[in-house]
Order: sequence, then structure tokens, then C-alpha cells
Amino acid sequence: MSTDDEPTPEKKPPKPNPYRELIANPASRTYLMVAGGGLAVTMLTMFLIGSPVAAVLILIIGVCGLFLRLPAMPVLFVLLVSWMVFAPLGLPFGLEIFSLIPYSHFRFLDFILVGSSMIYLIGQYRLLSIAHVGMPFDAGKLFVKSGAKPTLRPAEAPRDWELWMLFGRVAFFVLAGQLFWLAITYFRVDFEKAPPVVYRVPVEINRQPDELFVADYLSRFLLAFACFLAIALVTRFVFWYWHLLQLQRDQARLILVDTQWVEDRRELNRQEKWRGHQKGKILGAARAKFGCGGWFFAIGLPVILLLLFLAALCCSGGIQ
Amino acid sequence: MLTARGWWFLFFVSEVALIGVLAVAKYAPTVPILALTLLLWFVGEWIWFAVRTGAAQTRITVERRILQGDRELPTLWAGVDCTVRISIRLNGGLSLPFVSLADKLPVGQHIRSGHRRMITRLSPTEPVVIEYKIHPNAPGVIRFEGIELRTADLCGFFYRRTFFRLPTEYLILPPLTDDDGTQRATKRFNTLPPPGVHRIRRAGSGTELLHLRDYLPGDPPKTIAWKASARKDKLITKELESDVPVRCVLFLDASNSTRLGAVGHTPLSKLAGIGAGVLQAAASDRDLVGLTVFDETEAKVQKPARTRRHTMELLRILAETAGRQAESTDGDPLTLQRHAYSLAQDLYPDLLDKRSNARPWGLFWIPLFDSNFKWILVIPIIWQLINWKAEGFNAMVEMTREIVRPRSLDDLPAFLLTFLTLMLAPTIMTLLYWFVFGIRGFLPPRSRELSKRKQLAALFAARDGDTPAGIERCLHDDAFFADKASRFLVEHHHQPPPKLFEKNGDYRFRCPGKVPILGAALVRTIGFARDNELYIILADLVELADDIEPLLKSIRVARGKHHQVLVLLPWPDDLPPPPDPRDTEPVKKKKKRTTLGAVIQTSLVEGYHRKYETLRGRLVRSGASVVRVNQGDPVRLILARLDRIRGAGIRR
Repeated sequence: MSTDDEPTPEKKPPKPNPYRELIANPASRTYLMVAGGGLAVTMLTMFLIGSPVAAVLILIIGVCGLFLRLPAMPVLFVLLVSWMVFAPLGLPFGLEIFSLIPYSHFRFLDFILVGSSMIYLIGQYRLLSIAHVGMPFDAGKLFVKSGAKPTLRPAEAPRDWELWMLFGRVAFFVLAGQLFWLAITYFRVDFEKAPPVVYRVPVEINRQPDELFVADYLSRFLLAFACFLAIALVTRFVFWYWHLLQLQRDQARLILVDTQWVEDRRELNRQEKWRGHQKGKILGAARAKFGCGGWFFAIGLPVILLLLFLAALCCSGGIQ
Repeated sequence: MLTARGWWFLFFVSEVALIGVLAVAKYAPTVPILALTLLLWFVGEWIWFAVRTGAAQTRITVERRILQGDRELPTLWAGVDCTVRISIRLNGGLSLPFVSLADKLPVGQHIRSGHRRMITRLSPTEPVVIEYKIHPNAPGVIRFEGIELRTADLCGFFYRRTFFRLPTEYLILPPLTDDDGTQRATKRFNTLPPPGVHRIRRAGSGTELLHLRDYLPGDPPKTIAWKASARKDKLITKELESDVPVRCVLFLDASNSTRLGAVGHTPLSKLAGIGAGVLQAAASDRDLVGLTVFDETEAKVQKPARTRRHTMELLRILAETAGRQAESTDGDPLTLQRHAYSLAQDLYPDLLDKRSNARPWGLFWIPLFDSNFKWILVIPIIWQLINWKAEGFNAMVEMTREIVRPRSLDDLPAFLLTFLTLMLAPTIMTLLYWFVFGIRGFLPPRSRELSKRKQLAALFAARDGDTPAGIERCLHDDAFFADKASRFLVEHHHQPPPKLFEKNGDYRFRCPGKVPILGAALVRTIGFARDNELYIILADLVELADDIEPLLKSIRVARGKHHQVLVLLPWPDDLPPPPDPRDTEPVKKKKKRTTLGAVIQTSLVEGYHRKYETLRGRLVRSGASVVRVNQGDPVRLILARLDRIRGAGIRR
């Protein structure tokens, strides 16, 4: 539990040492260890994969992220791990001719790598919430005063269940990721069937596009996209309904008035214009001499006269 | 809902997943597995965060208690610290691991101790208590709007801000003066009558002798002065003075001119504070005190009385009056809109959300027919008319043949296209003009301002129970919108920026209508008066120095009836006092660089001083005494004047 505003202390406190704070704060200390553990296991896994360069680079990224609290490091970590798994030596030499997909399911190293990466990312992001920025400012960047302190998570030791939940969550999503991968590789899109999904065991050689309507890679993409789209649509619908159930009186009243306005907008707009017109007439000389009407006299009238002149000329046979 | 951190993470992981699934999976399946797992985790966190914050919306209960002197009070006293204690409890099974709770401070108040913001976790088993102290130093009304709840997930990907509106208003009564406070001034007369009465030199039933006279048949025997009768050898009757209560009536100016300024620092607050001091001191002497609150439209009268209940009622009225704010209905709509929108963003974030407050695209389109350029639509018609009448069709065909020169059927499409282009050129140009004219409405700043106005209009309509026509009227009628926005700001104790001067330089807050109302109220009070009474006028009249004839007449009537009139004028804090005419030594002025701003300021200050002197002269000539509020201690001065009245009858 912490507070972050007035009254301002009279004496300026000494500037805290960020590294000491990182260790002294029980919350950051815990997540430092969690993230450090995840990082160490990731490094080890990269060694096992055969990429010592990746292990060194991951160490650098980890130090920058954990101790210098650079917020870009977790994303860089994801990019680096992905690249180094693809090209362990740093450059994509000796790529396999055959597809490795049939052997990619429920591999122990994948479990370890994905799990440790997730633990590092969660630990790193939670550490950033404690030591860097916990909540964004309400106002845009332009309106934030220089030197304004961001809201940080209070320096309290995380509860036991919080860590258990963290590890449980990682285990759940690692398993879910494997199942998801299994689903999008074992099912294929076939638009000739209804529903357009068929079960087909993946093989080492990619099928030719003419054999099936959709190529392997496109099928995987379509299935993954469809899954995420389905999740999004279902979630959207559920939350929309839940929002309706939870509507408060003010919100409900506003929605009713606003919906009616949207439906009747054109008619109401016409009425308001007439009201304004009548108001202007009642007020009499409300408009300035060369206010709104000035344009008409300056441009409109000469053009109309010109056109009338042309019309008259034409009618009289001037232009043939 | 997504923070910058969340957006970056989502973007990069999605990219890796896309590349992994499409291209890399064949060579390194771990890449898509990693990316898809992270993506699933992100989506899961998102859903979990939405569930928790959504559930908390209806399950949070907030209880506010205001304590003064360790007791919970419905009204507060100015000048005394009060403790604000807020208990926030989350019911149900889900908890929020990272929340920032903040109480919105009433306008014009500052925290003495404690904190109004707390960053913590909110769970059903652990209610959160926020406690802080404020020191209301001026009478009026303070308004607590509610609690701001900001919540984020532990990784900082998602963020949500909500506001629990719990509007509560508390009346701040003027400071309670104790017996040793500003009650009576120095002792001026040795023979002060008992509290609550003063003597008047008219025959009555008092205790002090007024004079002796010959006995008249019918005089009660107990009035015979036997000693004097024995000395004179004839019956002499003694007449006693009248013992009457002192009556003091306060006239408090609550017009717009006294309501200008920051909450708690308006001239009206000061005048109400002075009035409260006089009221309490007089009441503790058992004098009768009345109050008349007047503005540009009406005067509300409280007859003089001396009971405790009456005193409390007057204090309440003073506090309510001090809490009033200037009403400026003809302010600049754009300025009002900006202020109202930022306030609404703070207090009504859920009602500005586009899920409930729609902004259809058609709203931004500018119809050509509403403009002065609508005559352009006539051009295609006239063009076709000319073509028809002047055999333009044949001319167009000839012209097209000159341009395209068709030799076979293959040239037909080009021929037709050219022909139609020439034929319909004015129509196309007009349509293009219509499109460009209309599409401009989608460009900022118009679209931004219109969008804000629509949001505010819907909010006002929902709050005031208006029909949808109210929304449309707000969009078209600037005066209507300005009125609504102004009332919205005033209701939330936010003073909209007032426009002080007219285009011709006239001060807009002169409020000349209050003078006849004050005069009438004074005459009415005189009609109910009994004997020498004191009328204290607390009013801002300097700007009306030349228009106070009705008031002067009333003052002359009061003086004719032997009442006393004291006029207290509030003086702006940032204005130097007028030069004292008794000072003969010339003031040494520091040499300063003359700037246009300084010249204008000097001119304004001198003008104000001139008006003050004129007003003072006219009032004094009518028999009233004039005091500036920043001149000494006005409460003490008034009490001294009351003492003088009390003793006036016995000064021999």
C-alpha cells in the first residue's frame, strides 16, 4: 500500500540508489529472481540447441532489462530468441530441406524454452511495473508535466499464491500453445469440403499447391487466424452482453437518448436549421451587411448574371 | 485499454507469429510455437483483466465520512480542520491486484495532512481506507465528487480508469466566534444596559428616569415621585426611559459581481464571513439580528430575532449564499466547451465512451446546402439548358470528333468517354466541389471540436432528462450550449472563465439591477423598524457609483427615522487602497519602464479609485458611513457601532 501525492515534504530526500532499491524492495527482489531464473534456463536451452552466441546475447539483454530497466528489452528478447532458434549461428545457413513440423509436437526442449521465456517475460514486465512505470499517465505525453512521477506498484512482497499462479499460468499456456500448434498443423483447410477443415497428418515434404486447394503454410495461417478471430468474436459478444447486464442508470439513460438521436438525427437537424432560420428572421438585422450574405453579392450574383447573360445569348441565337 | 507497452508487445509477437506460421515453421517450428503461446497468453491476460475490472464496476462500495472534532457532522465549520475518511470495499470473489484509488478533492480545498491517493491491491477481505484532513477556511459549500479508480494488470499491458460518482455537498458554516473572539470592542460607556436592550429617550417602561412632569389625571399612582412632590408641594409624575432591544439588519449582496473569483476567495465569501462574525457577536449579546440577501432579481428577508435557532438559520443562509458562483451564460462556447469537456473526462469517463455516446460519420459532413455556395448546384442545370437551347449537343459531338477522330468501332469507348467528360464536365466539377466541401468536416480541428460538443451534448441531455432534440439543439445553438455548459461547470463548482468586459469596454458584472432591489428592501425594513436601528449593507457598489440614486433615497429615509446605516464595500485583493487625502507627503515613485500593460493597469486602478471616492462621497452625503472591507477589522468596527447605539440614549 503506498501513496504518491501531497503534502510535499519540506526537506528534499536524498536521491535513492536504484540498484539498492531493486534489492531492498521485496517485490522487485522477488521478480528479479524469477526473471533471472527464467533467463538462466533460456540461456541453458539455447546452449543445448547449439547457439552459444544466443546465450551471450540473452545475458546482455537480461542485464539491460533487469538492472537498467530498459522497457524495450523484453520485446528484443522475443525477437532474439526467435531468430536464434531459426538460425543458431546468427545467419540462416544449412536450412533443412524437409519439413520439421511432423516432429515438432510436445518436444521437451520446446516446453522448457517456451516456459522459461514466458517466466522471464512475466518477471521482467512485473519488475518494470514496480521499478519503471506501473500505470500510464491519463493525459497524453504532451500534457504530462516534466518530472511527474509515474504510478508504480507498491513495494510489498508478492503473496505466495501470486507466484504459484504465475507458474501455474505459465504451465497452462505452454500446454495450450502446444495444443494450438498441434491443431493448426494436424487440421488443414480444404474449401472443397464442408466444413472446410479436414484432419491430415503432417508429412516431411510440403504438399504441392495443386494437390490441395490451400498450401500448408496458408492453411496454418488461416486456421490460426480463424481461431483468434473466433476467440475475439465470442469474447466481444460475451462482454457486450455482460456490459448490457451491468449498465448503470446514467449509462442506460444516455444510451437510450443517444440511440434515439442517431435514429432521428436528420429530422432533428432539419428542425434546428429552421429554428435557426426563424431566429435569424426574428432578430432582424442580426447578420452584418457583408457578413454571410456578402459572399453571395460578391461572387454568386455576378456568376448568376453571367450565366443568365449566356443563356439569353444562346436563346437569341448568338451562339450557333 | 491497451497501454503502450501492451501495443508494442502485441505488435512484435504478432509479427513473429505471422512470420513463424507462414515462413519459418518448416525450418524451426519452435518459433511459431513460442509466438503463438505468447499470443495466447496475452489474449488470456486481456480477457482475465477485462473480467476482473468489469466485475469490480458493480461490486465496489464506497463510504465517505466527514469528521470534525471526532464527530460525524452534516455541516462543517470554517476554520476548523475536518477529517475525510473513505472506506472502499470490493465485494464478490475477484480481487484487483494493482489499483490506484484517489478521492477528488473539492475545488478550493487543500490537504493539511494525510493522502487522498492510495496505490494498493483491492480484495474482498481487505477494505481500503483513505484518510486525510482539510481545512475549510471560508464559508460556502464544498462538493466531493467521488472516487477515481485506476487499475492495471501486473505486467502493465492493460489499463482502465473509472470514476465512482458519489456527489456529496457539505455546507461550511462561517467560523464560530467564541466569547473571547471578536465580540465586543473596547468598553466605551460606563453605564451599559443589560445585554439585549438599549435605552431610548422616550417615555416607556424602563428603569432609568427620563424626566419629571406635573401630574395629570389618569397617571398611575405608582409613577408619582413622592419626594419631588413633597419638595414642590404638588404632585409630580416621573417618566421612565424606554428599554428596547438593539436591532441590526444585514443586507448581503449576492449578485454576480460578488461571486466572481476562485471558490472560497470570492468577495461574497468575505462579506458572508463578516456578516457571520457580526451576527454571532450580536446574538451573544442577545441583540436581534436580521438578514436580507439580495441580488439582481430578488431579495430574501429574514426578520430580526435573537434565538439560537434563528442564529443557526442565518448562518446556514450565509453559508449557502457564500457557496453561490457567478453565472455567465453568454460566455464563449468554445472556451466553455474546453473546460466542460476536461471536467467531464474526469468525472464521466463512462458516459463519454463511444459505446454509449455515438459519433456517427454523418455528423461531420458539411452539407453544401447549408452554405452560401449552394448556388453552385445551379451550374450543371444551366449548362444543360445552354446545351439544349444552343444546340450544344451537336457542338459537343463535333468537338469530340475533333479530339478523338474515331476510325473504327474500337475507338468508340474513347469517343464516348471524351464526349461524356465534355458533356458532364460542369456536373463533375460541381460534384467534386460538393465532395471537397463536405469532406472538410472530417478534418481537425472542426471534427475534434464537433465530436467533443456532441459528447457533451449527449451527456447534458442525459443528465437533464432532455429529449434527443436537446442534443441537436446543443450542436446548432451556441447560446443554448453555452448555457448548459456553464450550468454544468457551476454545478461542479468549477468557475467558467468569465468574460469581464464587453466589446465596448464596459464592465459586464456591474449588476445595476441590484440597486433598486436593495433600496426597496431597505425601505421595507424601515417600515417594520421600531426605533434607532443599525442597517449594515455589505455590497459591491463601486462600479455603480453613478447609479445608486434609489439606494441614496432609501438611506435618507433611514436617516430621517434616526436609524444608522453602515456600508461595507469589498475591496479587491490585488488592488492598492486609495490614497489617503490626509497624507500630504508626496509618495516617491520608483522609476519603472513604462509599458502598455502598466499604463492600462494604472489607468484601471485610478479609475476604480475615482469611482470609489465618488461613491463614498455620495453615500456619506446621504448620511451613511462607508468602510472598505480590507480597512482594519470590520467586525470590530460594526460591534463598536452597535455599542454606540446601545449607549446613545444615555449619553448626556
